[in-house]
Amino acid sequence: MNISDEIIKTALLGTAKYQPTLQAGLTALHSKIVAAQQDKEDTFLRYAAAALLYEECGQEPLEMLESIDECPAETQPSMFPKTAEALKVALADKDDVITDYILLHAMARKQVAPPALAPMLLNRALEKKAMRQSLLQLSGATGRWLMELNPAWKPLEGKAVEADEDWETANHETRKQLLANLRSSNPAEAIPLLEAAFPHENASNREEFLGLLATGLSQTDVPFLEALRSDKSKKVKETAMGLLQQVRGARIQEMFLEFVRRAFVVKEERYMVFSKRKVLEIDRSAAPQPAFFDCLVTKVSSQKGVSDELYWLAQAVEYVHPDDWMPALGFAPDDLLAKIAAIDEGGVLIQHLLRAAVRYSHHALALAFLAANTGAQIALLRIVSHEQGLPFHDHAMDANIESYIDLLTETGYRTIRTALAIKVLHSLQAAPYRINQPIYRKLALHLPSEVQSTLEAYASESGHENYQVRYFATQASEMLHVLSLKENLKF
Amino acid sequence: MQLTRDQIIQLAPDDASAKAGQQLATTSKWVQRHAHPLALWGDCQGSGSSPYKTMVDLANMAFKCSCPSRKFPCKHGLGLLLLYASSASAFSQEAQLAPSVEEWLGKRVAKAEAKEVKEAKPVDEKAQQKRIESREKKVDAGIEELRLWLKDIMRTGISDIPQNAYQFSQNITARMVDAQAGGLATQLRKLQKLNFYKDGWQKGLLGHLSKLYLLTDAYSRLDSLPADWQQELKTLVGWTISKEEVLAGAGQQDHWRILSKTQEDEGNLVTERIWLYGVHSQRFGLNLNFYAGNQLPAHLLVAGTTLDGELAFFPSVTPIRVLIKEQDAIEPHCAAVAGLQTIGGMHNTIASTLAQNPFIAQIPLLGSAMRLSLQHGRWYLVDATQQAMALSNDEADGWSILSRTGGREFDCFGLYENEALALHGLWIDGIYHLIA
Repeated sequence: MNISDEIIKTALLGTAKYQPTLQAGLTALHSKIVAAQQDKEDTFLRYAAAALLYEECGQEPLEMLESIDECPAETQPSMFPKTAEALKVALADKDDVITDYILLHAMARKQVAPPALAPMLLNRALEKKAMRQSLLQLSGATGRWLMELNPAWKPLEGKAVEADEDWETANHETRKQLLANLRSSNPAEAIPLLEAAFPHENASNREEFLGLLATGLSQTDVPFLEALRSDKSKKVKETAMGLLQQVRGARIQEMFLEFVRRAFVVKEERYMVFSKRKVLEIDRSAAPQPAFFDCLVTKVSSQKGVSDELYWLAQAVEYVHPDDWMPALGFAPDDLLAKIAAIDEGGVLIQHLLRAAVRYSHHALALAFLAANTGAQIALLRIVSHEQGLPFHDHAMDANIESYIDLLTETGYRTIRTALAIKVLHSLQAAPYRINQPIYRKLALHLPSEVQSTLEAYASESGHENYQVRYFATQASEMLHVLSLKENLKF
Repeated sequence: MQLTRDQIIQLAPDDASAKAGQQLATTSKWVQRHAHPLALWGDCQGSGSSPYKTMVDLANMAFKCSCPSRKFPCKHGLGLLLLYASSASAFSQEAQLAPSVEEWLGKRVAKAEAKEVKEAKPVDEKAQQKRIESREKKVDAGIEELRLWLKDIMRTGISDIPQNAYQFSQNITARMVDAQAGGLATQLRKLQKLNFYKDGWQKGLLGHLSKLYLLTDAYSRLDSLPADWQQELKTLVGWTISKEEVLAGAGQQDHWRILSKTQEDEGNLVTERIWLYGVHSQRFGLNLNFYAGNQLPAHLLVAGTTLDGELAFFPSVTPIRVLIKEQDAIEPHCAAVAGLQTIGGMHNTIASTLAQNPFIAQIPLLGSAMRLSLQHGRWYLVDATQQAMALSNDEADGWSILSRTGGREFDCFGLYENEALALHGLWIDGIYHLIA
């Protein structure tokens, strides 16, 4: 028994109920205390003070049987100290805008963060699933070593080696990640796994797995998807059908295509007495096959002033690949758009064709739609190259600046041209509340240093009477800060 | 002197100032930026029409700013220093100080010199003696009450105290304040900070209570004790020694490594503890400062730097508390100092220190070639012979230390308190790292 155990027992019970048994070695001390005692409590308090000190002074070092193995040496280069300092601040402030910027650039150069930042990176990886892989890689050898030691970080280990994960033993979330990876690298291999797993999965899980098949969708997937048309779950059936509608060459698309080809008719008509020209018409009597309406097609037109027949055609146009029917008509994409627009109720066809252009990332149609300025500019600009899209940026910015900034800031931190950047800032100043502060900060990371004076001018209006101008001045000031930070970061 | 970002952040009076300072550490905010080996100065464009004029004394770390902020240093001072730390090239290097900066630095020197020659005011010794006698009576009465209170607790037992942890010592603490025994009141306040949810609270509580009793016991026999013990006990009870008196004593000139700086907020009072270690004298020093309300800090010392100067020690059985008598220069580095290489050696130091002065609350220790170990969720400091001492650092601190050291040997500084060591800093490859 420790010296303190007996004393603590007395203290807990109180001297009125209990008196400590003396420990060998302390009897002489106790006798001295007793000789000068006033009462029981006086004796106990003095004895307790002396005995606890006696025990503390006589403490032996503990014997440690286990030791921690040293961290393996880091093989990758470390990031610049000032960049690491900025990363530390960003992680501490949970500033995802700056963290993401540093992560992307450091990863591109295969750099790792200093060992001291590893715990912060691992903690952030636990919180931010989207950034997890990058954060783990950035934590380097120290991060991997710490993950082995700390049970709280152990779950991250699996995420770092997903490729080695076993489908049979993996949980649902890991399976989803494995499936997503497989669809990107080798899509056909996913089908046998799903065929084996589906009988044992519930409807919600089946639907989630199916959603991942949109990547790498091909003819190979058709038999599996066709079989799911008789699934017990309505949602699974609909998801499978949605996927089948998008597979070129699949029975459903062939049926849609056959209807589209029959419905669009090109006729020749006399023009200016001596010449002839091609005219596009819709054969409204060309009814689709009865099975057409089993394919998630809406039978009654939901569009005001649009006939059911035309609405069926519009839906079919949306799902078939434009290259499978447009060339046969013999019109250039811009010409075709003009001709469809000239048809009575043609507006609905234009809208659905636009969706097809976006769905299949149809380059020529996208350019034609951009030129016609029929909407969805942002989605269309994502299809064409940056240079091809430049003439249409003004329209896109005017139509929807929030989406336009999304477009500008999703291209790996490419610096925006100065003239365009100034235009964007000017547009934002007119209505600054259209984007929030994180977007302003993200935008700042894409701005060229030449806009500094423009931003300074906006920032100087912090005392303006108009609250919107004041708000934008604050954002301009913050953007200046981010711009300056970006210029100090080295990779 | 060029401080690192972390060292500058330590100077901030609060988190908000640190954050605002970082926002201002950008060239676009500063209309002018000048650097000289002795000072930094610049004009910061704020919301007003004219920019704020900010100056930083680099030799003695002091700030001046024309902004109306009551915080010290203000965000502009911190921002200017942070900007210098991140991009010194953004400053124009000046061979001459600007007249306004030169004037300010001159005034500071003159003020410091004037302080030194300040003569003591004449004292009415009779009145002073009367005041002392009156206070002695109050203190004695207070101590008698405290002894009775301690005995009452022991008679009934401490098992019910956790249910009433906050209130059980409130009245007696207030009574000690009334009795002008501030030292005892401080000791009693510490009882409220004990973690009653943690295993072993009984020993901690009993240790505190029994030592308090021992102190009152010793104080009642003050006249029979040697002079140094009389002074020690009087200080523990709450009698203070004037700064002038301490500064009048002999000082210790040395290169003082500033090993840690902590602040504890106790409502209206902030207690600042700065631990120093003399490279040549091999002595520890504790600079203790108390700030009430918006009181300005006595020194802008930064942990992880070295102070060249003279310290004056308060008289004590184990002299450790110091005042800065003379500050010659501050170096931005804190080179490693030799420490104890075994845990057994640390235990010996603890035992000999407690034998000398059982009332000492914290024992500073330097360790060399130590490692970190983790067992059953608790961190330990381990020497080369696998002997270990428990650490009181929290879990996050432990992982932070482990990531920095990579499981390899390191030198360290820590404070022993309540049978465990709290690491405050470590040297890795000769560079001192603070444990936040």
